[in-house]
Amino acid sequence: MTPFELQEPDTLAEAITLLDPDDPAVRPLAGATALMLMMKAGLFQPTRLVSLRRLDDGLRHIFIDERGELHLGALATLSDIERSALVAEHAPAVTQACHTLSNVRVRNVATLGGHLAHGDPHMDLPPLLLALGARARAVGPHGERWIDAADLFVGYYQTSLERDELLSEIVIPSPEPDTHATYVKFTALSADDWPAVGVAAAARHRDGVIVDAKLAVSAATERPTRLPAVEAALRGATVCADTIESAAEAAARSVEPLADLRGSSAYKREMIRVHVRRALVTVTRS
Amino acid sequence: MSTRVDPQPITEDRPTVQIGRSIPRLESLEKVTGETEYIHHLRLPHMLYGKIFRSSVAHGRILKLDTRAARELPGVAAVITGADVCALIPEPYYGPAFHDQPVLAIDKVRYVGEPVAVALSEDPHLAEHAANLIEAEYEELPAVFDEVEAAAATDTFVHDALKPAGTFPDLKHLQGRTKTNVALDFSLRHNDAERGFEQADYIFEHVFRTPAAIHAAMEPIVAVGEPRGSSAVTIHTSSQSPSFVRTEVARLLGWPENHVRVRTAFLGGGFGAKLYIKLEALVAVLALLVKRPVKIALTMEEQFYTITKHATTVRMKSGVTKAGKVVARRCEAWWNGGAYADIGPRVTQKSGFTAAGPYDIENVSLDSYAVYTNLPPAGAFRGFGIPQLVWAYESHTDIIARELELDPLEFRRANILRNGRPQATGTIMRDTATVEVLDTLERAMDWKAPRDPGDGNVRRGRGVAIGFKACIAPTTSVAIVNIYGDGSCAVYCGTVDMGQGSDTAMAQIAAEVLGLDPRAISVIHPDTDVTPYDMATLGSRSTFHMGNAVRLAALDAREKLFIMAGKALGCDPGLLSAAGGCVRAPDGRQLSVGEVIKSGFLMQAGNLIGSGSFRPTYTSPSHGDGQSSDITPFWMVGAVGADVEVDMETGHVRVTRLVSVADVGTVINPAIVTRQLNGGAVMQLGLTMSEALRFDHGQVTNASLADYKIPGILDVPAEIFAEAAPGCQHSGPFGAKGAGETGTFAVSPAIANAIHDATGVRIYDLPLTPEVVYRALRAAQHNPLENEL
Amino acid sequence: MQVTGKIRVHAPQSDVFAFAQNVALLTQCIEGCRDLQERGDGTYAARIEAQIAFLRMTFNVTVALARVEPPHVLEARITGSPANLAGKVDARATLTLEPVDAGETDVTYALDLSLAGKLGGMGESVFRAKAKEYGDRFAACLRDAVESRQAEKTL
Ligand SMILES: Cc1cc2nc3c(=O)[nH]c(=O)nc-3n(C[C@H](O)[C@H](O)[C@H](O)COP(=O)(O)OP(=O)(O)OC[C@H]3O[C@@H](n4cnc5c(N)ncnc54)[C@H](O)[C@@H]3O)c2cc1C
Repeated sequence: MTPFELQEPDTLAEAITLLDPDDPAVRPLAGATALMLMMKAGLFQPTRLVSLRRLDDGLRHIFIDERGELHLGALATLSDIERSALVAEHAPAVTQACHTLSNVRVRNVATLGGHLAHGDPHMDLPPLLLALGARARAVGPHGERWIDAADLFVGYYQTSLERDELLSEIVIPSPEPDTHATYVKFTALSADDWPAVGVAAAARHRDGVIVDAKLAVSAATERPTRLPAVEAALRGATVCADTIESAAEAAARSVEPLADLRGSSAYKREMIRVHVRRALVTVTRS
Repeated sequence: MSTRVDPQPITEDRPTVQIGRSIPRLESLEKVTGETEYIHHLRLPHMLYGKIFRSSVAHGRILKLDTRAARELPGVAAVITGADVCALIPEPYYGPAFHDQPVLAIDKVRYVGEPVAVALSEDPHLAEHAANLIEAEYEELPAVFDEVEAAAATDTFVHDALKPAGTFPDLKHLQGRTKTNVALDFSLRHNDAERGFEQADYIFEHVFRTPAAIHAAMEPIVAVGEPRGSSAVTIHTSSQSPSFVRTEVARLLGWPENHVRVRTAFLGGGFGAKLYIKLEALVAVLALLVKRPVKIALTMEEQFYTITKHATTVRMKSGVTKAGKVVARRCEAWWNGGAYADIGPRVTQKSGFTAAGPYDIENVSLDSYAVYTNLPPAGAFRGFGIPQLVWAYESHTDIIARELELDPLEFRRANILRNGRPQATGTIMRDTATVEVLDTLERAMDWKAPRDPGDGNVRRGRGVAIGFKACIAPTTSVAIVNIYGDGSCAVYCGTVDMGQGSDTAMAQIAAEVLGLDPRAISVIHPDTDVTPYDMATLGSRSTFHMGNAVRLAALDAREKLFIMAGKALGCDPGLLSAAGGCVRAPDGRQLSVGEVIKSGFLMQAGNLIGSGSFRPTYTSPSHGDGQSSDITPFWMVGAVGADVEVDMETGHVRVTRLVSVADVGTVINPAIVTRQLNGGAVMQLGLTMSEALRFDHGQVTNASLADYKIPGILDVPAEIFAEAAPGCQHSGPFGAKGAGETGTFAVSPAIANAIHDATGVRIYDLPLTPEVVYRALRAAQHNPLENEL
Repeated sequence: MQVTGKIRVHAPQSDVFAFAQNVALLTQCIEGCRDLQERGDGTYAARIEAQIAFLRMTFNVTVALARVEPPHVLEARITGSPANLAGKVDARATLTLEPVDAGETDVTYALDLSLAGKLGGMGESVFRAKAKEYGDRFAACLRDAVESRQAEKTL
């Protein structure tokens, strides 16, 4: 690793001024679990890192507002989220996904903001946040804006955040009654490996008919991807094996999986089919 | 000081006190409180850090090496290349079997990642930055990667000529051999395999493969060279073989051994990666060149370029009668040794002669080839090649049993090699609990109980496998037991404790003889200026060899203690006994050990020193047919039973139960033995399910633990269990033999056999990743999954 | 790692070939390729600045045409090393041109990319994920450049 400058500002505003809209070698730093791997690999050679660890306002909050929306601070650690009773109640699928996300050592320091801002398609929570219709609050030199989770992830390691913008929190809307959500993580190597395929689904069904469905795949694709056409076909369909099977088939056909050390493209396509089916079976169970 | 060479069994006629006790490891407290010494933490005054610049081509001639930018970087003390090394040592090639590996590349590079130059600075980050500024220009040469292709190559050779080390008589004939990538071809002929095949009713033939892998010790390889003037050097190293390091570095420098001091501390794991010379020659040379201490600590990534487990291709052929008797077996094994031989030729021979398995087979023919390729060097790896062979012969054996519709366990038992029968080398098997191991496994698995085969998406299966290993021979261990003026006691031995609990076992052995509390005995860690010679901590040899040496040393010290006590008590020393920290006369009078010493030296002073030296007998196999009447001091046997669940839609395999049974002779410390067996089984579980080095044009493409996945706690089967089968190695200390590797032997085929039991699908190549299993399932359904780039 | 792709170009095979055989033109289609200098021996020196999100890597490379078989096949070889990082990059790009009709050509590209050193050992997955995207962008750029020259010709 080459030497670099480390800044530890006290306020979010100060942190933003230390960022540089034009220089990709200046980055914010939260838990450092992702960035350090890249630095050790020599892929990223920063000139300046702006640590968010000393921010006064912490940004580590987890609360439910008066509208029933769940707010998760960008600097909440993945362990904070895993252990939060509010999260377990409001978004149990998030709690469940955290249990198998990496390992406890990483979860204790990794933050939600870093998890999302990294733009790595292998992260576990993004597809789930897509399926839950979450949105992100971004703060920059000109104030703040909301980004729909679906618009946050642009490509491999690429998000729609500007270089001098920071994520401050994620908001998961209050689910419609009777919504069931799940995340299925499929690992090809060890159990605590990154997913080879990740599938998130959220659905509402009434009287045997699917009222609403949201579906997202990740890890096999270059970014977490919603599957609107498959979702549309599910809406209004009766809950049965055929419906689910054809949705799984359509999902597998609608993406072009990337081959890597964890599986060939053809294999990952099969795994998408299997895990979309399993996710849909879970969320449509009565 | 007296030394005994005593390979004969020594039987104790009284019940033991310390043997068979699960006392906690001596170092547990200091380990959990972070006080343990590791070389990784060592910092010496004026020390420089070295960072290695490595080859980026698999095979090439070095045309130009430009180190200027690195040298001119402020804060860089020096940049050292192969040419600088040659100025100090004209022939800087090392290796335990072949003198083929240069301290730094000279003229040529032979694999991606080979050390070419070193940048030195007081700041490790600056050293790394400087190493990145070094530029090399190569003329690329054709490269060979596959072991079978390399062995047959006619125009691409990794080395111009073979350079055997001369220490091994059986390598002498290879001296100067050219135009070959085969470093060693070992063959064994036991009766007539071809005739055996003719007599057989069925012939089975299969090819099995295993990939290269790494040891992944949590403490990466580290060494510090410390010059003492210009004619002596101290090497602090995380080595499993300090005595070898001293001999080899002294040879390179042309110095007597007493000018080289090698010391170790605790090791954060070794598994065979830290044997022979790794960084030691390099740091010694660097320190002597720059006249300052030099430390090189590898990163986890660099371990992937330093030492690996042999990838193998093994062809097995068996002739079997209708009655289910294996009458002939032929095996050919190709070991992918990478660019430098390291200990590969020993693996090829010492494990090679067991390639037919622990079976009583009339006609055996074995050929085993150590092959050079343009990949990172392969060396010793927990099991020393045995897991690769067991993968082949136990998959093969299972196929035969299932095709003949014989119970796999019964089929093995019917063919098992029993005590009193000749192994393929001709050596008569003794003190080896093959049958007991199978019986214990059968009971522990409840083998005959009805099972739930599962249905639909989840299929369940059960498999067994058994493997064996001969302990490496001939090797020597020497130990000293020193009783101090106050009666406290230390054991000086060269066995390296790298987490296997050897300190505790040695203390228990010495304590047993001396009637002391093992927790009060200190074990002095290897320091070649202090501790006597030991061949190395490898191959499950320490409990047996060093255990015997420590026992002899303790007996020697006790004899002296009894003579002194006899005078003090006015009693025949031959009638005395040692227990509870005291020497006792038959009439009940006793003196503490401290009081005995005081009586002899008239004050709290002096030492009582006992020494012991142990080297078992050995007859080297004859060239050509590999026959020997005394091939090994003892055999180890390990069997595994596995229950699996296969997800038929994904190919994902979950091992739900893993049972290891081993013949370890008398158990010295049951808790440690259980952990060694289970630890070995989990390590091999990783090598079975996920671990494999991936290469692209010779470059490792998963050189990090983010992409090379070792098992985590969630991969450990819900039920994991280990048991020692009843056994006694009469030539071992209190009947003990090694246990460090046995748990690894049979894991892989037991799991593959269970997968076959569950699904009917057979897999021939490790690892058993979900995609591999899935593709096999699809192929069996005549609906293969498309291949792609 | 290997990636392949195919694109249809609205230009005759010979025109596509003429374009591709011109290293100066061809390298304009390699994203981030700068400072091309002819060395005189048929090889060219260049710098490639690869940018993957916020990761920026500079490679000093040599570009050469390794195989020229008009009007079908053209192979370029790019070798070099990353700046400030020990290692090597070696890429072989093969273009196969197949005429569809007099005015249209199918261009198949096959990129065989290998990385040695840190980028190869620890960064392979990143490059693998991006290689296809790079390849497709290269092909699209090639198509656009050839077609715009075609348009100029017809004007
Ligand atoms: C061994 C290991 C295994 C892992 N396995 C898994 C796994 O199985 N599943 C999984 O999902 N993940 C896994 N991860 C990834 C882990 O989830 C991420 O590393 C982690 O979430 C990143 O959080 P961080 O706070 O450490 O981010 P950092 O490393 O600090 O930052 C990551 C990126 O986000 C940027 N950033 C950080 N905070 C902000 C912010 N507030 N606003 C804008 N940009 C910001 C940084 O500049 C950087 O680009 C694993 C990681 C490791 C090390």
